[in-house]
Amino acid sequence: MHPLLERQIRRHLGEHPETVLPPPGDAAWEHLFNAIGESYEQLDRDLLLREQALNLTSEELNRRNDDLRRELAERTETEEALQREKGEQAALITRLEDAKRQLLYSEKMASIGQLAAGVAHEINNPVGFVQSNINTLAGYVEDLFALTDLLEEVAAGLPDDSPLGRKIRESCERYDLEFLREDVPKLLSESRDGVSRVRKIVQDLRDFSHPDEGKFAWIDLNPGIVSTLNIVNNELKYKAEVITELGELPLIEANQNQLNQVFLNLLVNAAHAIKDKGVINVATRHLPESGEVCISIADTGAGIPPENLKRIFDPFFTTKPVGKGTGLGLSLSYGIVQKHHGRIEVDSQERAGTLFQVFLPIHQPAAEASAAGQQA
Amino acid sequence: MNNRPPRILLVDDEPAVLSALARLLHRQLPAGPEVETFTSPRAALARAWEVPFALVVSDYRMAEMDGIAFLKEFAEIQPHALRLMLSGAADFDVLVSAVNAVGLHRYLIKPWDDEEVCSVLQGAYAEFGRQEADRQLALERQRQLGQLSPEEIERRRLEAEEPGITRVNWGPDGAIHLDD
Repeated sequence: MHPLLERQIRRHLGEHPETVLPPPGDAAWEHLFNAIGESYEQLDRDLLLREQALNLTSEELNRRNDDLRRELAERTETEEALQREKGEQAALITRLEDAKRQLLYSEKMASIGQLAAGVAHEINNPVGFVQSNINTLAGYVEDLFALTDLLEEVAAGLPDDSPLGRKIRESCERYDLEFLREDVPKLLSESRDGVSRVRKIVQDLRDFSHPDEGKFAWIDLNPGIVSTLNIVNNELKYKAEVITELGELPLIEANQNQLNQVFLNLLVNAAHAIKDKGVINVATRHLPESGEVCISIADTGAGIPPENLKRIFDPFFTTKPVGKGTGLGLSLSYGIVQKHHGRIEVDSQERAGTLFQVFLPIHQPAAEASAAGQQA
Repeated sequence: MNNRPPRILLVDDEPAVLSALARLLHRQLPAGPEVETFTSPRAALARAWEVPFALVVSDYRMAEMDGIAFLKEFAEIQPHALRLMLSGAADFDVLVSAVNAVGLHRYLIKPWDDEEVCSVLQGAYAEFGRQEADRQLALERQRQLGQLSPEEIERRRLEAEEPGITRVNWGPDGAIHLDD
């Protein structure tokens, strides 16, 4: 029995209700029933209160829930804003890095340009007079040979026993006039070739370093590649056989000197990758479907290990011995190609070789295009 | 009176350049004008006071003074001589200032092309001859019109023969400076 009920019964019906129960109709019964009724009513009231309290709690919980949801949304928004800001900062850092690269590039180019101008002037003087002297000498020699012709003619006209005739014939033989006649023109033409090669190198050096950076013009890439090859020929020729397959290219909107710098870096790297003897393949082709041209430089050198492949464009990353590489070549190249809205792709296999491909668009976006237009 | 045709003056501080050019002109234009060469621009200027030149060809980069300064001073002594530059510094700024500052007649680059140098010098020499004839004609005309006194005519003749002879170099103290 419920202890409360037991207590009510004891209070209204006495301590031992099972023995002496009051008769029906006794007021004790009525009191008992009233008390029980009251208890039920009290219970109902309690239930109602509890229900109300629960409702209140639930409402409160809902409110709190909403608050939390709002807070969460706010947090997500903040986080997104942070992410955005982080992206902007990353872009800013990239731009700063680009600017730094361009600065290094332009400083380097300016000093090379100054050096080249000075060297060109110094070399052009001797080249000028050597070249001119060779021409004059060719004329002198021609005159001298006309004289020896005459001498031989005179000797032929003399009687066989004439001592003068014999002397002339002997001298012609001793000095090997036949050979001289054959060899002198060869010697002169080889020397002429040599001088014109020097002249060409100076010209290339000058073209290459001409300090007109940042200017875009409509250019044909192939001559630039040929002149760059001439410049680095010294570094390449003992290491590698250079095979060029230059396809027909449309004119592209670009900065010749900057691109020459890219080719130079890629060619020098290719040569450095080759240990003893190898092949460097330089090819250009037109990709009409994508409106691009592609320059590929492939070597049969050591290749780049995969762990380095990610870092080759990082400034100051180099695997060359101290003093041999600054680690700027490829990052400068990367910056230049990026400025041209192009891209560099690398494919490398260890111990097999590396292929660099530079893709450049034919047309630059509007801003650079107008610059090229003004220049033309 | 000195009736020898005016000469060609070559100035370059590299002696081998001068001898190569002199050889070239001697051989290609054997009947051409006499050629004088100087490695020192100062010495060339001193010479300019002595004999008339039709053409003056100068290098640009020289230790003593640069080609533009030299040609400028030369033009003050012999304004009618045509001025040419032969330089290995194919620098656009140099070219512009040479043309603007000294009224350059032609610019030749080093290393030069023999044929080009000969034909340019021949052409310039002929041009100088034409200009000289025009000047003589104008002088004659002025004389006929009585615009020039006999003294003035004599002064110009002397000046043509010995450049600067009629100009007196006064010192600040009233002394007359003689070059020799």
